[in-house]
Amino acid sequence: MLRTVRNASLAGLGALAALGLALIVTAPRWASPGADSAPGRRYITGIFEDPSARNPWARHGPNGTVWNSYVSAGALPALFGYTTERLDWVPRLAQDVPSPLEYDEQQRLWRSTVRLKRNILWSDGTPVTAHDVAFTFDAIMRFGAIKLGGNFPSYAPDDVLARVRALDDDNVEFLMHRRDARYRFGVLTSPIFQKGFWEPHVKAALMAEDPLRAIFDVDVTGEPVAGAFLRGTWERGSFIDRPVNRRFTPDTATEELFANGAVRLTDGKGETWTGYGQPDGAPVLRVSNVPRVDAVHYKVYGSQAAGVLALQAGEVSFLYNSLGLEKGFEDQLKSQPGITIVRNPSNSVRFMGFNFRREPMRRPAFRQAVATLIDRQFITERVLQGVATPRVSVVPVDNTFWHNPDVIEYGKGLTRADRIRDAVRILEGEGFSWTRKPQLGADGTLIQPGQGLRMPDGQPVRPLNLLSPTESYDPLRATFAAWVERWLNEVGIPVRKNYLAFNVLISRANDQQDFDMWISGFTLTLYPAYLNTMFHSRYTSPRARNTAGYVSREYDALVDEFLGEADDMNRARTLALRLQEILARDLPWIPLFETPIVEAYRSDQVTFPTTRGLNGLQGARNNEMPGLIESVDLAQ
Amino acid sequence: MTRFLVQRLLQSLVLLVLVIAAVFLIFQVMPGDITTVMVSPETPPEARQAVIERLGLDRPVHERFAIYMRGLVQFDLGAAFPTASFHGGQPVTAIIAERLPRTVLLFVVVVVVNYALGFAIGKRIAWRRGGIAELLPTAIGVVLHNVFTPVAGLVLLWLFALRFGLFPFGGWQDFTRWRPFIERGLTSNDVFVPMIGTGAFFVAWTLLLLRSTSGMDRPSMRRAARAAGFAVFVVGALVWWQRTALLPLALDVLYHMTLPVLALVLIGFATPMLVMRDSMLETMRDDFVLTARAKGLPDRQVRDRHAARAALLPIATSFALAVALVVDGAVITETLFSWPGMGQALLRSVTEKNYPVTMGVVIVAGTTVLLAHLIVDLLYAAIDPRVRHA
Repeated sequence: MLRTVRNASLAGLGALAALGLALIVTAPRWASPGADSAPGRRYITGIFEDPSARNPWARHGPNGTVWNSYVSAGALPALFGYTTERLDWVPRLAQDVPSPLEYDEQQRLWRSTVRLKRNILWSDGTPVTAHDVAFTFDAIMRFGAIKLGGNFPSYAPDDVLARVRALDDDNVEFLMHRRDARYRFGVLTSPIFQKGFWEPHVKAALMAEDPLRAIFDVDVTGEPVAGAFLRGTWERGSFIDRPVNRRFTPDTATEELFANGAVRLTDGKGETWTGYGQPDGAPVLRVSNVPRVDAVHYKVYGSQAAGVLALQAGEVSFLYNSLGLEKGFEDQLKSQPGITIVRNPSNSVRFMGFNFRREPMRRPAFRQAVATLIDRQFITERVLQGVATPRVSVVPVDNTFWHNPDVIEYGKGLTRADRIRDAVRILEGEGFSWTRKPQLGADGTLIQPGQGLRMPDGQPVRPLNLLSPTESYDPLRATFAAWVERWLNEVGIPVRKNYLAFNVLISRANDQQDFDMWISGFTLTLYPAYLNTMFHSRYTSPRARNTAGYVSREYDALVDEFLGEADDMNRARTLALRLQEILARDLPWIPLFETPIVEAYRSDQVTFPTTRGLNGLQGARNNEMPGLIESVDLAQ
Repeated sequence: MTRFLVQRLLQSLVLLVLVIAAVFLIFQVMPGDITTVMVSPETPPEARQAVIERLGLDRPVHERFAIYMRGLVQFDLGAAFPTASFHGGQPVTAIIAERLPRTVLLFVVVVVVNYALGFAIGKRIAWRRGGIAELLPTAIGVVLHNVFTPVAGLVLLWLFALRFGLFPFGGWQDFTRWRPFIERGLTSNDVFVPMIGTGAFFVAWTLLLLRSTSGMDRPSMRRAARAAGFAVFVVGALVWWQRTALLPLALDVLYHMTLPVLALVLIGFATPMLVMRDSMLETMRDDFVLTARAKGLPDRQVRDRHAARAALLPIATSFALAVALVVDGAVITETLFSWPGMGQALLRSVTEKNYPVTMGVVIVAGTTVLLAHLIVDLLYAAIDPRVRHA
């Protein structure tokens, strides 16, 4: 028996040896490449998640994440873009601003043309032409901008854009159903896809069973780009490395901003464009878009904690994170030598919204009383210790062109006692009453909270709900909810906060419209098209974005006018300021606060052209043009 | 035995279907609209509806479950939803195929080291019961076992990566070493799979070698034969890796594995150690141990050849289950050490409600656990004559 086992084992060993020999003979051979031949000057950054795709259709589609956008930044050109820091809308691929919209009687469409700069090259050496532009819009419209989702409906809004035609290599014609500012701030900021690379893919995808999946799945390794860095190499879960584009011909080699608001752009051939007035004196900011590193490298870390340690050790020069550094990490890094921490506003808003479909939220006096009771400064400064900043207008302060700093702020500068007195006065003015009215002592402290609040018709105000994200999802919004609940109950408004998982919250408020008040937030766009989509009465149905159900003919008319102003930006601005005044008065929302983006970078390794701006260092311009970043320590 | 095997296989299959149905249903009854995690609230309603239809989310639950099960029978685990961490439409099997080897390599190494260490220490502390030699390792093991995994990981990262600069902050590869290969089309699995294969080959080779040389009468001859056998393996493996030119990359992976392995071993070795200790204490009271001692055999021989061998059964069971549960343990470690394997896929897919991916991972994990149970049952039946199946 033992002998049999031993013999079987020996036979097995022999078979295994033969298998091993066969494996050695047939071993795949990866020729040893020797030392890394790639240039060594890399701008190394940390990211915390893989992008879901590098494919630009997927990036701008519904699956687009911030990580997709970071690692593909600046790859594809656009006709127009925004300046660094100040965010002025300026030509990029375009030689000048578009021609004013003119009505074409024959076609019954509005018409505008854009002339392209010459000799801007794709990385395969071919020029970027009007045919690429026309192909891009044609492809988007064939797939259907709405179906593509994500940013595409703003790049080719089907109620605005009729078609796009290349008149020759340098001129492109846009035909529109109506005058609409989305032409400038949506259509003309669309990424441009190279016709040569994408045309066969688009044709094949349109014939596929699922065209969108087919186009989102196209492998973009080797896709020609027009930006400073190529698509490069991607090892999932580990890194993305983008070597410099040796054929890079910047559409904007130098960008100069002047104190009087003027902008001067110089392209790669030395030709200049000037806008927003004539330059006066020395520029306050001068940015040169010439790559100073040989590659941009994105290293994937599984957690922010590991990334922060890597930054501390100098393994990376900067960490991308759309939410910014958490307070603990900021404290950990701020005393470290070689590390600089910067704080910038984010282009977002956190607000408390009302449901106008229900009593008493539909009453302006009720909303004004609530707004008067909410002391944003107290919560942001005293409770939250400055991790958030109070917000008054829907449009962020740092979106300087569109922001209105002079909107009404209920309860501004009042003490708690005065806020209560004012709120009671407003409610009484509307006819509200109490079984026990709130009472204040001589020193202003609340002696007796209000009880039994009644509507002007004498009916008791039913218990109200205030939906909010949970503490684990967003402690800041949860904190606001707790304080709002307390302050409203002090004057007898029977409200109870209800913490919900974020998707449940969205579902309740947005889809079912089953709420009284809710606290939520949005990331915003530079051009405030959200003044239309979030407040116009045409968007009040379930799943549309006017969750409040706010209906104002005055507002609707003005916002239509604002959207229709596609040529005169100063008039558009005046209209935007007026719209913010109406919103602050009518209060479909009470803007609460915004969270600054806190970021850290190795100032002993890199410099940024500017560290100020909406959304911080990872904001649009720095992110679009990694070539702006200068490596201090070339040994990196 | 055949009847028992068939019965157990059928039981496992039914269990697996129940697990799949439970996971599927959990995602359906979770509050909130699943599409809100896939499309931004700012997405126009028409675009949102288009996404819903494209993913088949407008169909009734039972229909979706039936479609899923039909696909499963054909080894099609469906496609990922388009959420933050996953590319929409990517086959779940591709996601698993990409990540499984990383998890298997890291955690099988951890489990093997844990059990080797636990076995070695466990038998010794049981043998010297009551003294400091038992108390100290037990106390250290229990204390470390109760350290929260992320804390242990962060302390190790801080100490060995930041302070001493001995190890990297995570990941599995040094970019400059790997980049030229990746540009030629190499994927990390071209290294991971052969590494796992080398390990498996080593285990099979060792078992057969020990078996085939066990009958040699002269110990010196047996030792020489075994040494020669191991040398053949080492030379063969080195030649294979050398020919592929991937040896530096494999060593790089091992280097990157050091900190996560260290963290998990420090936390985990106590479990097998205490199991082994308890089992040894039981065995040491058995008559055959007394007989061995009475025969005048050396202490070490009694401990290793008689007591420890007999005490091995519970630890072998525990080992099989530990191997099966690697995905469970991978969730935190993979995130902390930037090792994107099955655990990280599970974590992200659950938080993003990407249930095709979650289900794929759960099915793989569940199948492994059920298989491990089956193997353990069969092992018991084969090894322990007291266990009989009707």
